[in-house]
Amino acid sequence: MGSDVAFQELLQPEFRGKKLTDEINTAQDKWNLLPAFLKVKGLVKQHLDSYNYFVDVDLKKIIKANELVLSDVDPDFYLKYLDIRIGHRSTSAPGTKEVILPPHECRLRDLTYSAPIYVDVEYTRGKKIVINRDLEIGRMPVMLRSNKCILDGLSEEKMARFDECPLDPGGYFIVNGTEKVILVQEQLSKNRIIVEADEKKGIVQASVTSSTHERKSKTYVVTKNDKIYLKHNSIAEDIPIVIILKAAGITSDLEIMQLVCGSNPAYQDIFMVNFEEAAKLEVFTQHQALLYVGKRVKTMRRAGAPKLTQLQEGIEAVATTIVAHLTVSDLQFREKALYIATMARRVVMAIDNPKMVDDRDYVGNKRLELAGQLVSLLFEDLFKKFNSDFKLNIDKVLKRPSRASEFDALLSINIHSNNITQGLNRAISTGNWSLKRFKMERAGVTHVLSRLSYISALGMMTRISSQFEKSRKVSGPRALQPSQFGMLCTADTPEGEACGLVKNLALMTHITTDDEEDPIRKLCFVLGCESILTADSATMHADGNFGVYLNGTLLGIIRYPNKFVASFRQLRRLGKVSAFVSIFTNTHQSAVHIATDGGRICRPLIIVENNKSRVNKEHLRKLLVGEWQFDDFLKHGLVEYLDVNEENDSLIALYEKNLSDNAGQQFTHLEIEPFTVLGAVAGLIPYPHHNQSPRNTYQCAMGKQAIGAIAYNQFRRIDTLLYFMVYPQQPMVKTKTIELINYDKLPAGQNATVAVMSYSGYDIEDALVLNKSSIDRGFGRCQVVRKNTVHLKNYPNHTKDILSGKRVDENGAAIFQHEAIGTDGLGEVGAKVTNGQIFVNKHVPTNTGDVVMNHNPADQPMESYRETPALYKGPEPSYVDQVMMSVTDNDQALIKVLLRQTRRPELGDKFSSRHGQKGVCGIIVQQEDLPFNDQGISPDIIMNPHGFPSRMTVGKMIELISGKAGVLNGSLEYGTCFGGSQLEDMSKILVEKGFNYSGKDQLYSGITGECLQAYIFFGPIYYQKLKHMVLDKMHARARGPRAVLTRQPTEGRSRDGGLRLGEMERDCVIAYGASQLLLERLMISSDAFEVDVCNTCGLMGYNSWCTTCKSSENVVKMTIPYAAKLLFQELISMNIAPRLKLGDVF
Amino acid sequence: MAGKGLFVDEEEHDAVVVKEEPVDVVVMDVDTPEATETGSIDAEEADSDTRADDDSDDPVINTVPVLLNQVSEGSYHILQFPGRPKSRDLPEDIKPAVKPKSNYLQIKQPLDTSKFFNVNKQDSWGEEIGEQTVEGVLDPAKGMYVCRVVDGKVVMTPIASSVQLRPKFEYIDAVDKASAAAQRKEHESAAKPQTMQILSSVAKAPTQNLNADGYNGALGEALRYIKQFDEEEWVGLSWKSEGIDEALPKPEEEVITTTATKSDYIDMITSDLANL
Repeated sequence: MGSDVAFQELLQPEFRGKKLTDEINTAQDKWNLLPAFLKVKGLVKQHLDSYNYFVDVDLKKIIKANELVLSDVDPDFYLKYLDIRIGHRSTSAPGTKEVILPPHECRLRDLTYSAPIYVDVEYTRGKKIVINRDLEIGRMPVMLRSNKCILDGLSEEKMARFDECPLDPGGYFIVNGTEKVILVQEQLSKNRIIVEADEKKGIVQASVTSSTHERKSKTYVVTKNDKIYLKHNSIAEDIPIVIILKAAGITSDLEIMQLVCGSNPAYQDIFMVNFEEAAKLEVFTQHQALLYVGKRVKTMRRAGAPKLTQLQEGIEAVATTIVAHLTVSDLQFREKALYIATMARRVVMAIDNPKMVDDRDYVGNKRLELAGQLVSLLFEDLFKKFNSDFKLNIDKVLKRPSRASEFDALLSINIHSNNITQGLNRAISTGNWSLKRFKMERAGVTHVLSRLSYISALGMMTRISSQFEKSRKVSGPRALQPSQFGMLCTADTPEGEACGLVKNLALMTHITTDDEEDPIRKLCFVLGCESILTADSATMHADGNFGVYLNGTLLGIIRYPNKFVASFRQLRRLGKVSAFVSIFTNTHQSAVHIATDGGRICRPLIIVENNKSRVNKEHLRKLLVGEWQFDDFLKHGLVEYLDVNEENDSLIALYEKNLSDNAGQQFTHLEIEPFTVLGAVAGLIPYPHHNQSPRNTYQCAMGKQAIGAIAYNQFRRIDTLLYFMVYPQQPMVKTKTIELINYDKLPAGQNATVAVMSYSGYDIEDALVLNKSSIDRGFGRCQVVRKNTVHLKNYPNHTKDILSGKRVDENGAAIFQHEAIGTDGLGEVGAKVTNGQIFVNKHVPTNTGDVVMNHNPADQPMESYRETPALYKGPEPSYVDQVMMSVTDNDQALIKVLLRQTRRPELGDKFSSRHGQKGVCGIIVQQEDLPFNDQGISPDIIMNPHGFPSRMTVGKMIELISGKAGVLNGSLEYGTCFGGSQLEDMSKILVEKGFNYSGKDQLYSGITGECLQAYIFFGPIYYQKLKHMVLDKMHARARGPRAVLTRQPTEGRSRDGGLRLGEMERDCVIAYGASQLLLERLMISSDAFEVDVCNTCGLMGYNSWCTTCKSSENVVKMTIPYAAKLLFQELISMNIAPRLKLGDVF
Repeated sequence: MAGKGLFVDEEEHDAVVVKEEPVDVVVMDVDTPEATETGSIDAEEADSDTRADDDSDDPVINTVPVLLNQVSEGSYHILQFPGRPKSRDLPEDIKPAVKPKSNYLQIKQPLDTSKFFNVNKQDSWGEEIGEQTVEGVLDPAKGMYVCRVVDGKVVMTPIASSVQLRPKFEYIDAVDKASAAAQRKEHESAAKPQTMQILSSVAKAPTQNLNADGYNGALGEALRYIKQFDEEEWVGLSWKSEGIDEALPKPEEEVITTTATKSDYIDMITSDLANL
């Protein structure tokens, strides 16, 4: 969270009661690294990092890859992109951030918060070469708080000047006034081999998804009848593995055997049969193999491309199509050959030992795709389209034989600049990512940022959505993976269909961006890796030799992997290699894997040497006095980032005491703080380690629905729907996470005094008894504000919508409908608007189409308007909170009226504690009737004790005791996961203050004044008011609107719909035998319709006339449901004649 | 350096050719492990230099001066013959040829017909097979040196490139080609009417396509390279078998010393890595 000010407090010399002179205990104080981490990284840093990487690095790469625009007509013409910048010109001062408007203004005015995209181009004009700088080719939506955003690095005061909340995490876009988040997408890692086995079918397959800038393709090495084949979409037939390896230049069978099997006899036996296959097909040489492949390539020649010979097809297939992420540009096919051989080897290994398969669900095999990458894909697509449109345009001009003036290409470049802007805007606002290159159509990539409360917005920013289909009946992707420890929150996932597929990041995680491969490759060779180009195939899989793989591709081999890995790590700890490059050994595969790719989740850990933490008191002291920042720990090699794979190669101690306790074990790392296994939302729960785990998951879902404070600028916001709590309180029992994510500054809930007892019988099924006086004092009171937008349109015939003043009756008072509006036709701030009243008196011209031909204004008839006012509809009145009038980008007036309701809790409103214990208000009781204790305190809420035994939310009980101790002690207690205030200490405080150690009090009945027969568990618990309120749901209908087509009552509360008597209810009525009730419900009260049925032909006629029989002889009137009549007519339209045969009832 | 001489095992046989003007080529057999020292020597040197301080259980027992040879004319290359046992000697009569632009080396050597040679197969092909062709890409070998211990001193000579020579089986392709040509002749007359159809497909107008990788109608990178390779002429070389001492230049007298400290060295090897 970029706001330094908010964090300054955390890093003050005296922080939360800890002074500089206090003893520093590494075991307890090392958690201070966490606020330091969050200060640098923030909770949504992954979004910002990826966007920053995109605008600063990736954009330049895209420009470089598509730098030339050539003409088919004029061979001398060229246009070359030299550079690209977002939001600043080549001439502007460093640090300039050019954006359209401050973000909050964009929100209010329904604009897109964007910055211009400037390019420098070099092109030919006639014979001259011209360089043009700072050409705007479109506008790029700017992620809030990214380094292109004006809010980046601003102090709290300056933020306030922009009407921004300093606690707002940023990381989202504002497109057409709505805040849009690009959710983190989880995918299987690209360019890596995944081996899977289907034991029932006896199939083993190794697959790799190759992804390059141009295409995406998948290559398989599969078993079929115990033989191994290579499969690829653009090759019609499966190619025997030996043939493909021969085509890739490994000509001798001996070498193939060495590369695939090494000297392992078991592997050799498995693989042997494949040589026979190739021999049977009489493929011996590379030439023959290439022809074999070339013959089977599905040719998809583009128009204009030359026809290739079979040999060329074969070469093309091996060089570029198969395993497409490795491109061969010369004759050296060895890298690719070894890659295919490695795939085959992994298949052979899995055949030999079925345990040698990969786990798709393992977090180390996953990559997260972030906003930056997704926008980058989109931008490249749009940029290519832009260039090809531009090229078509200049070709058109250059084709003309005689041009009057010299042709300047730039004149036609701006025509298309809207395409990029519009394309980006449309994709982000609709969430439909369609990329022509990959033929990718993905819907639902973006979501509207949920602004229900601060925590719901924050929870959305850390959310990860999985690309798996929800319908598949496999449990694997949904299950909790051990490898997600510390990386993904273990509690925070929704229930129901998305359970386990939508995840959340843990508190202390970082998602990598792409790092350069080449320098790492060089470094590997310097560190003693033998290149695959010089290494002999026979030694490749010799015992004790390890392959070195860089991002999945075999680089070379190494004899002493441990030393290699150790020196590599040493260089990384020295800061010589990027901290996010991971290296680990896989002994099963005899491989050292190095990963530099983006999208890996990693987290910082303290380095342990000889079972001693490298971080000591001195370092922590420096951190506390502000001398050091988190990055200094990284720089000094005290802390390092590990990704999931490297974590698997380490022994991590949870606590410092584990280091000395287990002297026999060689620890490599130490956790900074165990509670970081939970994410931001789960971090709100006090004592979560005492709860049954599903309760924590329930709370994670409910925490996002709690009404509270949204942001410091909440009263300046005009959102579609916002809920505010009127008197939010920070919880009595907080957690360290709460402080770190500033939940205590923007809380969503109140500390209620709870008595756990039965009262009145209105508390069954988790219902709560509320104290009326508490509600009077403001408990659970909230405000609901709703935005209403009105556009005043301009029409082509120069007429436009207008606002009209209020109409008055003979006494000069406004008519009922216009009571809320002023003379300007807009609702007046503070005015009460009740059902049926108008808050914007808009009038639309009756004639908007035809252009009036008369040019003389005097002759023009008076324009007539028709009223189209914005009407207020609702059971309860609202008050006009704000009225805003502005202009959109196409110069139309935009009016936003914010209507406010203040709501007291009422029967049926939903409340929940922080332990997944939700309940509705069952009864509101006068305080006089409620029980009270010795001090005369009566509870705010009475909760039924039956809520406890089956839910096992012990954390809630401890929260009560800690809260009670805190109240008596005047302190805020901690319920941090795996720590927090100890129950013993809390009990001690209670006893000191004259209370029972277990938190039970003696209560007296408010009705009889008698002492209750049992001690009552009594104390404060933090209660959240959830957004589900009776007022928004209550609904009844006697009669009302009907659907046009079926003439049945409409559906849903918003349409004043009826209540459906469904199939199951129908079954009950039938079983009961109340057939007349059925008739009434299903027809008479619904869509009864009188039809004329002809008893001769059985079809329906009208007006006592049968059109089929041309007679009115046997036509009878009867009543049937309109839906049945509709069905008959539809059947007739399909050439099916439903004939009614009538019989006598009596 | 970890694997000193590791990669010379019995399956592999290494030779060093000095490629100069096609007039004289020096070849020697080097079976000494030092001959294939790969990776960069200066890395090891600097490593051992500095590690002596902090590695007490691995003390320095001997210090060897290192000499660096400058290659004034010609260049040195490692030739690897994967699949050929070390025990089998290289034949005398070897015809090397090179395509310098494409970095491609080809060696034709007489086929050993005494062992594992199926004379019947040769007869059925009706062709005399006397030569075996092995060829491979000359991969630039940056930072590779040939090291020899001369008078207790390590002499290093830089290597320009290394090549792995794999069999080509040209004779099989030749047989294929011949039979394919014969087949085509047979089909020639029958195929004539079909040429009419080809004409009709030419009329397709090239339409613009976004998916085009920037250029329309051009060959892929690999195919372009192969075209260039096919167009390039072989440059013949001559083969000499000499001992290693004659082949390598006379060692220079100056012993290399390093002034780099450990941190300098680390900076050197990581200079192109982006810092944090």
